Amino acid sequence: MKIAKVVIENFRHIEKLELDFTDSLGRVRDLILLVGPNGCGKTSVLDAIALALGPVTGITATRPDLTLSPRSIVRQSASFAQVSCEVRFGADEVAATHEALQSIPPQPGLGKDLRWLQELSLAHRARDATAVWRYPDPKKESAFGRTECSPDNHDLLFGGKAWYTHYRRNGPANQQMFRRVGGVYTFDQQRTGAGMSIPADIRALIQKFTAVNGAPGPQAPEEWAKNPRNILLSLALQALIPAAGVDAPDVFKQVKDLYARICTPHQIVGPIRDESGVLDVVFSNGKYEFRYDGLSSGEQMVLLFLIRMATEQIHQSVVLVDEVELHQHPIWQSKLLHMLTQIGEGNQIIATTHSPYLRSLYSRDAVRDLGELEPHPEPVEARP
Amino acid sequence: MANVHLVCEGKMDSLDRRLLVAVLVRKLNVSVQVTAAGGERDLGGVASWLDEISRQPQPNGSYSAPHDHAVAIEDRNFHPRTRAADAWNNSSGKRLVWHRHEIENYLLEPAVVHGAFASFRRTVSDPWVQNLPADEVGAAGLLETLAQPLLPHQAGGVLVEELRVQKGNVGGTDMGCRPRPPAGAAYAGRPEWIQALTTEIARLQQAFTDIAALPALQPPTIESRYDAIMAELQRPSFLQNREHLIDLPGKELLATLLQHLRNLGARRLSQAGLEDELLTSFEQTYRPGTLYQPDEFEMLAKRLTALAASHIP
Repeated sequence: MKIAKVVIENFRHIEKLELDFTDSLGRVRDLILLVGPNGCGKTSVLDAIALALGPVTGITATRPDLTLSPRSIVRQSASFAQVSCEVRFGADEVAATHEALQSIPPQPGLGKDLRWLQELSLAHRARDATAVWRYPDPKKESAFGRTECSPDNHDLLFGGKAWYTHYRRNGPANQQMFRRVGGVYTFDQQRTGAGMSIPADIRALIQKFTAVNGAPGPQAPEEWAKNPRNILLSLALQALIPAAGVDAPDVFKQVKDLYARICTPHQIVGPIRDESGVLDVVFSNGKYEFRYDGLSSGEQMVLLFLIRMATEQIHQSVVLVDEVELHQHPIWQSKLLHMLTQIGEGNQIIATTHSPYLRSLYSRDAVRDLGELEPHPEPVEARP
Repeated sequence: MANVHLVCEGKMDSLDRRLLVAVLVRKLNVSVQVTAAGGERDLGGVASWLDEISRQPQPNGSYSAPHDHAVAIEDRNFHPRTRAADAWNNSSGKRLVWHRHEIENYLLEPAVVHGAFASFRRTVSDPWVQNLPADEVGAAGLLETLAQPLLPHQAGGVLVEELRVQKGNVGGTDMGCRPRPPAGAAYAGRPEWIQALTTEIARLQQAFTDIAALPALQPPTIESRYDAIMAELQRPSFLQNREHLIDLPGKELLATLLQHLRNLGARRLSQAGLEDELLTSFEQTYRPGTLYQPDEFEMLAKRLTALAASHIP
């Protein structure tokens, strides 16, 4: 899915903002840079999109520290906030969503609803849909606001990935299906959200060899699974000892290759067991080798990006990136942003930046200048 | 590793800079900061300044040699191809010239244009895309057709450069006047100024007289020379051997291509949109040593990488 146009009203300090993400031929752009100074509303635009499309796609798309309350979301003097997203789906994405719905096996207690969903999915093969999110929910049924889609029932199109993930959870995963259906993903300024389900045996292996003097690590299980070093180790071990009968891609190699392309001459060498038997990941800067702790904050940010893009199999999705330039050398900024458009298939990257360097690397068609939103009481047309 | 700057033409968001970052930084992994000179500024001057600001103060008050390296690359425009060859043949030279007329010419390579057309056909559902050439040979043929009306413009541009050289050989026509201060004074007074101005005006008068008398600048000669250049451009091999893609002004050829596409039906296609499409196709098509002969991007990458390795302690 890709967003062709978004209209934001009474959201935080934005009174009304229309952003057109299409090019001069009316095609939806794969990359949009939202540019403006601090406080102009760049992050608010990303939050608005995540809030509008997250629930309908069935994926938690908002950043972890987002506060959802009328006081923090609705513009002062307004009674509700509204975000309207015009979305276009690829023909294959629509077909895949239909296949996902048709392939749902009989579920206890879902028989009638499932048949209804499957019949409905056959009736709707349109590729364009509009999702309108209002907050607070006018019907007061949901604390997260209400999203309505037009034409009616087109919310089915948004949830392909969620349908598939949910109903095939206990069956063999079809990797190809994850390449065909998408969702909405947010990369906040802390790049949080990277986390993966690490198989129990691999996890036990890492914990055994990374524990100091046999004692368990200080991190809580949830934190442990979000630690990029542990994720990298897990990916490396899974690549070395693949699970039998599972057709999983070599994500470690993917991350390693992408990291080398962005951070050259730095590269990931691979996992090691050091002299004291502790597992770690070794990196090289072209001359010297160093361990995970020796990474700069910029390198850690790049790794977080790559790990998440690869492990969550982000394809056909809207990817929201806040301040893409954080902590990075300008050359890496350019490579990372460019690479983001190429890592997954069919993704639309919507990134905020105040880096003049990044802005200058893209044509005016790719840039939406937000500037100062507050001084403009009238609707702002941000299309160049 | 030394910092290396590459100074190119145009503004910060110019096509020159975007293409250079795409090919050098992203495709060829060169660690280089690409800087645009900003339109009117002299590229060599900007490069020298970047060299200079990396000098470090020494304890004795002097400055070290530059620690950074800056290379400038500029359009050849209507200058002869030897100008580019000479610049590249100087292995330590830091003022390089594109072999092709300007940066747009590299995007107008038939394989790149074909890639852009294929993308249009894949992503646009309007009927006009069906009228685009279906293969690289077709794209080359279209470029040849579009280049034909530009030949008189090319002949004029080439002739201007020839005449400029002949005029320059006679003597400078810019007015310069720097009177010497009298002994013991810091600046010139009235007598020195009058003397210097009189001398300069006399030099200029003579230069203009000599220029006016140059045989090459007489109208009949201009006309015959223009026709001779035109005849050269009209020989079949110029277009067939794709020399037009090297010598003709890329900006004008790109504008002609844009107009052609609009006439086909892409009425809303913007220049930035077409440039974007060609740039994307270029990034997908380019492989070192295969698309261009000589491949100046590869040569430039090697030169910049060597400079980065030559750190001055």
